[in-house]
Amino acid sequence: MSYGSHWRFHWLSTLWFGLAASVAAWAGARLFGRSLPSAGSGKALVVAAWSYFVALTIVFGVSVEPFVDPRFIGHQAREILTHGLVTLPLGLGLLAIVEGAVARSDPRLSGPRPSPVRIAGVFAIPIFLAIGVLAADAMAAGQTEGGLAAMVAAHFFEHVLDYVLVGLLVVGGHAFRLGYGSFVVARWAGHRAASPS
Amino acid sequence: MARRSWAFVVAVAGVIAALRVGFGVRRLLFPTHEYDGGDLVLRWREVQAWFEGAAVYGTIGSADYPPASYPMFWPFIGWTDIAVGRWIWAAATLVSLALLVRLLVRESGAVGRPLRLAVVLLPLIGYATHSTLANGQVGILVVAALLGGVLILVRSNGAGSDLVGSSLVVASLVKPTLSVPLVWVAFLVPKRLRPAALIVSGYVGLTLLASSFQQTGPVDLVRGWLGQSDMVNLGATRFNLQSSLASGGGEHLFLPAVLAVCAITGWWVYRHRNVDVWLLLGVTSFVALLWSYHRPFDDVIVLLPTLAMLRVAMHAPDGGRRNVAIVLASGLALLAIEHPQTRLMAHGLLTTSIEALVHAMDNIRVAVWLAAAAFLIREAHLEATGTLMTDRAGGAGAPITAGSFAPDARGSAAPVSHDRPSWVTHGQDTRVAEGTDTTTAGVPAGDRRRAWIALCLTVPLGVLIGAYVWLVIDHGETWLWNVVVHESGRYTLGQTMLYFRHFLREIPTVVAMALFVIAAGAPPGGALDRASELRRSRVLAVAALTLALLLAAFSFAVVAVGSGPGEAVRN
Repeated sequence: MSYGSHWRFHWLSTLWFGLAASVAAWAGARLFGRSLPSAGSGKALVVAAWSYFVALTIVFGVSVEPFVDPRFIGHQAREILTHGLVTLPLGLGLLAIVEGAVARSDPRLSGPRPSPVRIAGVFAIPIFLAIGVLAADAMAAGQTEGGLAAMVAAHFFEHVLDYVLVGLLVVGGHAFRLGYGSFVVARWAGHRAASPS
Repeated sequence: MARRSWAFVVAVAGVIAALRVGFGVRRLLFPTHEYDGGDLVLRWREVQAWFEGAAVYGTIGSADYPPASYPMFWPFIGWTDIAVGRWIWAAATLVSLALLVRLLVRESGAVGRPLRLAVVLLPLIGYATHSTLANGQVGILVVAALLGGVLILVRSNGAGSDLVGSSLVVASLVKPTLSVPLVWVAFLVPKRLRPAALIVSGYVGLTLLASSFQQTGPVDLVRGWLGQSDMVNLGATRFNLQSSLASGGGEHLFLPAVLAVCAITGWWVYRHRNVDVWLLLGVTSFVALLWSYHRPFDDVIVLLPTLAMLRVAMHAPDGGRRNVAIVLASGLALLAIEHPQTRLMAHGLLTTSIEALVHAMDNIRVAVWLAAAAFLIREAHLEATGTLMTDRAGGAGAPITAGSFAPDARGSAAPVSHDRPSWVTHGQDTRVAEGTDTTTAGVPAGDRRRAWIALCLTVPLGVLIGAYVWLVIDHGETWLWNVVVHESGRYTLGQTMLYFRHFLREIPTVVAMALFVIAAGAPPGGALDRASELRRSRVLAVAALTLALLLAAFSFAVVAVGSGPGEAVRN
């Protein structure tokens, strides 16, 4: 296992997750709640999330493996299947639960309208990976001895601890933002006002 | 004069009801004919074979109950001989009947002794009750459990009541052909995920428990059960989807047709989940009667649409609709009293003309059922679209809803007056109760949020169940905890789920995913200003983030202990 390989092993699928989260939240808001403009403090969170992604990409290094290596391609396709069907809806559901349980005065679903580039990415990445899986025979490149069930079905259970941690972080992170958000913003604003510029 | 006539009718009906129930119990306890307690004897044989590990499906022709039903039968007849089993079954059926009567009277909202007595007699006087008792059938238990379970789930939302209500609904699934269409009401009307999760997990658990006593796995057992339908004699049943398909040579279409009917019923219940729960129970009861083959004893479920019709008849302010409801309620009640059977001909008692009478009666019965179903569907539609108003209990212009009969302080279902939108009494969402947060479609924001949450939690749950089922089929074993399932060919399911080394490597990715979810789904503006909300969110934040840290630290410790601290850090 080389340094940073695990991050790169998931690079495209994590990128897809970031794009898909905003598209799914927006679709949910359109169907089940109110769609809100992409203004306000929500933007800071988006910047923070993508900054984290870029920072770790720099820290762990960039390579062409996620795009050309059949093992990487096959694994990323599985990751999209697993996290797209379990982690993403689970996280969004927990977010809505926290929103309703804590912010009783104004519960709502929201999701700023994603840009066309994001929407295109949500479809383009899985299509690229699917073509890659078929073209490069990623099944053969996989480390499986148990057939498709072991490759796909068992993989859902390999991430059980991930589901738990994502759930805890989403609940804790969003509750933190609701509970301490104004405090942090006020401190930050005070600091800016006090600093000579 | 009218009062005296009514008292006379009720007295005569009471005597007939007492004779019918008494005669039914006598036939069950002291059989003089093979039909007396005959179905109970069949179940007893199947249960005995099942728990002895003998093959049941494909071997015993009468075994047309699914695997999960046999553990439910066991407490009544599984551990004892049939003579004792008859007494236990009779006691259980009579207790269920008493509870059913009590529920029906309470729910009818009938005012005055004569009307309440009529509702009391309704379940006692019918042929279905007698036949259920005499044959040792399950219909009364199913209807009582289903009704009790659904009402508990719809009107309460605590964890304890959800557990009790869901358990009752699971118990009603002992005969799924009679209860499944109505279970949609338990799934969709409470608008919470917990009841559905409890019902599904309870039923799956019973299936797995049952399969542990058999030589074959649960998948093969369910296949075996579905194969049993070929052994059912459909000739003795009245009009229904199954016999209609069979008569046209379309037996192979039965399963897809039933699934389609089930899906359509679920869709309809979902669309009307805010209307009076009795309208939903009434319509789905007719689906249950007509989607699969049933013998006359299962007609006991007609009690539910009859009561739904009575409620409409009593509370509809529109004279035309009220009259139609009265006619249909009377038709349902009268046709429930007697059911001539061609079986009598075999006794040499009757002539061929009776056969025509039986068919004519059955056709009339089904026609009245269909008319009643159409009427209840229309009522539900009117109520859902807000064009139906009632004058129930003086509540001016208030629709009857599932919350209309909210239990009062004494636990009875006293009618309540509605000054607020109907869904206020349905859920606990008081902030949407003010009616300020609705979409253009008119659906309350709280409902939409709950639907979104339900979708978000159901999809992962369904995917995980599907993945597990796939692995079960692939490995041919039910309990996979100790079975090697991982792609590497090294790890069991338990080891795959608790794969801490892999989890440690995933943490950077997991944090990214959590950040993406919060950034995408959290509404802008965020911070709270009320002290109670601030306190609640801070406690939640500290608790959840502490648990997250503990999970990461625990995983690190597990890997460090197993492979050394260096390996843990590398991961």
